[in-house]
This record gives sequence, C-alpha cells and structure tokens, in this order.
Amino acid sequence: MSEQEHAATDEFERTPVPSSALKGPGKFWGMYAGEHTAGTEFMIGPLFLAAGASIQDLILGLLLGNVLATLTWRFLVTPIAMKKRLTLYYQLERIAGGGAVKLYNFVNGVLFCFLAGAMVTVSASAVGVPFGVTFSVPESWYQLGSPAFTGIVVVVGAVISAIACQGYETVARVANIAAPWMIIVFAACGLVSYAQMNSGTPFTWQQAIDFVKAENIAAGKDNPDFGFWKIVIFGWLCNGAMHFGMADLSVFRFARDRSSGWAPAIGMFLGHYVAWICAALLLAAQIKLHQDTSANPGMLAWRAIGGTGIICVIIAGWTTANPTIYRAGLAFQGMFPNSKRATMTLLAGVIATIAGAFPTLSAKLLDFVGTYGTILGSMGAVIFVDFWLMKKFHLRSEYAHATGSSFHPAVLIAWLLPVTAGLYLIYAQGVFAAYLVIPCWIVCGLLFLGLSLVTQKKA
Amino acid sequence: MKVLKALALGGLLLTAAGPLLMYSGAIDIDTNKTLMLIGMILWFLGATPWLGSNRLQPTDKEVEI
Repeated sequence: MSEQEHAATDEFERTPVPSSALKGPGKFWGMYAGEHTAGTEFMIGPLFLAAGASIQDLILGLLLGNVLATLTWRFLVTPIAMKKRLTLYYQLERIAGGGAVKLYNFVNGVLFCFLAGAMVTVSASAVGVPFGVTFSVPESWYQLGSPAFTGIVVVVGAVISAIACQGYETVARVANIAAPWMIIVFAACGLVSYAQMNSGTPFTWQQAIDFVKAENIAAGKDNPDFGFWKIVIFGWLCNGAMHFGMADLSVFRFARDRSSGWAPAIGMFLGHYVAWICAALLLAAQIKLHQDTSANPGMLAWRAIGGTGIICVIIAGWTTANPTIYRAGLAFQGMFPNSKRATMTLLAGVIATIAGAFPTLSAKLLDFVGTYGTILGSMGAVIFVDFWLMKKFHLRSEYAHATGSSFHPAVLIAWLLPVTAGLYLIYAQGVFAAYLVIPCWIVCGLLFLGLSLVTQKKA
Repeated sequence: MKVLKALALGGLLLTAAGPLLMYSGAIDIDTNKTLMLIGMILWFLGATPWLGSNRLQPTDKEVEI
C-alpha cells in the first residue's frame, strides 16, 4: 500500500506503523514549526521579563536549553520510536498493563485540562479587549478575575469545548493554515516592540526589569530570581513530557529517517526562542509606553499590532486549547470505556473552562509546565529502561504483555514514589518545578529496574 | 490555485513588510496596524482553500507545548 492509500485517520494505535505509512523529514519539520508557535508562547515570553530574567541570560540560556531539548528528542526518543513504531500508550500498556495506562492517561487528561484552561484564559484576554474587559492576576490561586472577564472565559470555554466535541480535524486545519502567518506575527510583535522601545527616549530591557522590581517592592512582594541556569533548565525541560516522557514516540513512530529527530529544533528556535523573546519584548514596550506590568496577552498584542494581534492571540489560544481538550476527553473515555467521547470531551471542556476562570493558573504557567514535565516525564524512564536495559539484566521486557497482567506494580511504584516526592518539593518546599524533571526521571528508571529485578525473579 | 497562492504569499509579505517599514521609520504604528490587518485578510483568503485542502497527518492531533 502506498503512503497515499492510507487514510488520514489511520492512526495505528495498537499496531506498529507499517513502512508504507512512514513520512519523510519534511512533515516533521512542518509539524514542529507550527505546533510550537502557539498560545502558550504569548504567555510564557512575558513571564520571563516579569520574573526578572536579564536579556543576556535569556538569549544564551534559551539557546543552550533548546539545543539540549533538541538533542534529547533526537537521541532519547527517536531511536526507540523508530525501532518499536508504537504509541507511548500502547508501549506502556505492554510494559505496565492496561490498568496502569488508564491511571497514567487519567492523570495526563487532568493536566491537559489545566493546560487548556490556561489557553482559554489567553484567548479570553484577547476577546475581552474590544469590550474593554481585561484580566488582572489575583493574589490567590483560588480567586476569580472580574465578573466580566469570568463571563468571557465561560463563553470562550463553551465555544472551544463545543468545537472539540466535533473532533480535532477542523481546528487542526485552521492551525495548519494559520501557522506560517502566526510565525510572522510573532516576529512582527518583537520588531514593533523593539522599535517602540527605541523611539524617542530609548528604553532598555534592564529598565523594564527595574520597573517590575520597583513595583514588586512597592506592593510588598518578593522579587523572583530567574538566572541563566534556571532559564537553561526551563528551556530544556518545559517539554519534558514530550521528550523525557516519551509522549512524542507517538509522533516519531512515523519517521522514515533518523534525521527527522532533529525536526523539534525548528519548534524550539521559532517557538521557544524567537516567539518567547518577541512576546517578552511586548511587555517591555508596554512598560515603557503605559507603565503597565500585567502580562495580559490580548492587551499586549493589541497595543503593538492592533486587530491582527487580537486575532492571532485568539487563534493561538484556541488551536492549542482545542486538541488539548480533545485529548483529555479521549483520556477520560479510556477510564470509562462505556462513555461517549463527546460527553467526556464536554467534561474536559467544563474542567478547562473552570480552570481558565482562575487567571493565576496562566500567570503561573512556568511552574505548571515544569510540574507537568515532572509528573509525566518520569514515565518515560520506564520505556527507556524496558527498551535498553531489561535484556542486559536478563529480565523480560514488556512484562505485562508477556504475563497477561493488567497492573504491573513495579511500574506504578517506580512512577508514583518519585513523583510524589517531587510534588512535595514543589508545593511544600517551593522548589522550581522544572528542576525536578530529570531527578524524578532517573529515580523512576532506577526504581523500575530494581523492582523488576525483585519481582520478575520471584515470579 | 496559483492565484490563491499568490494572494496568500502577498498577504504574508504585507504582514512582514509593515513592521519592517515601521522599524525603519518609514511608516507610523497605525499604518503598520492597517497593513498587517490587510495582510492577514489576504493570507486567510488565499491560504484557506490552498492549505486547508491538505490531508491531515495523524500527528496533527498530538499536543505540544
């Protein structure tokens, strides 16, 4: 069968991708370029400036972090994906059992809902601009924005959820159409903001940081520290769930050539470099012109490039939230196999909308993304150990599949112990979440290997 | 299709040209906003039938951050 004869919906969820369905590197470069220039970028970029990161640290730190992320995709994910050609979920099912995958999938679904919630906030921030409704970030996690903004979040969330119930195809098409334009718009935001900073009395990045710090001091808040290594680690591990966590096995199982593994580089350098820095410049220009430090994506884009900015933020938020809600719906459906996909997608949409009504979530996106990587990234170590080490230790790989087990306890213990400790460190001790992705990954891998040695030999 | 592609690429060019002209001081911010708006409309008019008819890939439904 030729590549053309495979229907677009052929997903090979439980079979290896056949050689006739493999894709050349161009498809992957295109996909990563579009996927990483998204709604999250409008939110994350300004947060670097708001956190006090210097422009030198940002330029060099993100450069190194993105190189490390690309190498991780190329040398950790691609070899396993091309050898096995299975989705993450099916590989996990063969190692850990169907029951364990349901739990993992459920956690994934809940986290997707929160990510989609932040994107609903981003889109709502743009929808509110023409109506004069902006959001300010409350002090508490559990505080809503203004009633008008909450109303807009509900409307935006309802529309996004209703569209997600129809499937992902329409929005995927919109995302594909908008991607090249959106990349130009991000660059335009940076260029316009830089021109605004230099017009009249020049205004530097450092002056913007000083303004933010002075405002924090006046409000009695601590000034955060966001130095070079913190930026490197964040740039490297903000996609921890996708590379260390092996979620992108589902992408690279279609790769014909190993060189496809370099494709995330374009996503990293367009989305997580150019777009982040350009979005951060929006905030710097806003501070100069309006003395306003709020990282409100809709207002930032409106002030720089007008209506184009509003449309871009809405599309960016929507095209990120939509597939996220859709995937969360699938995850929930996996927990309750008799339920309808549309019902579960609607449930995911309702949770995302409720989450989106709390603007602190989007303002804490740097922490959320790190937490997401810590929780889901660790599971990638199980795949890594099963693929590379099991046979070297004379153990059986894909143990659940081989024994017919639906719940391999070694996987669950190995995953939950480090993640629980990681969450304790994040929420009780205030450790920056992205710092914990690799430690949790290593501990999870070692525990899985150790527990497999004990349990498999007993069996 | 050639006309649509030309329309879309013209729109993209206009979207990029506005900020460059503004940066060089040739136009003001309001003119740039207008140029970008026209560029956006041209892009979506041309690219929707052009890129919208492309087959979706199975990877299109994966979530990336």
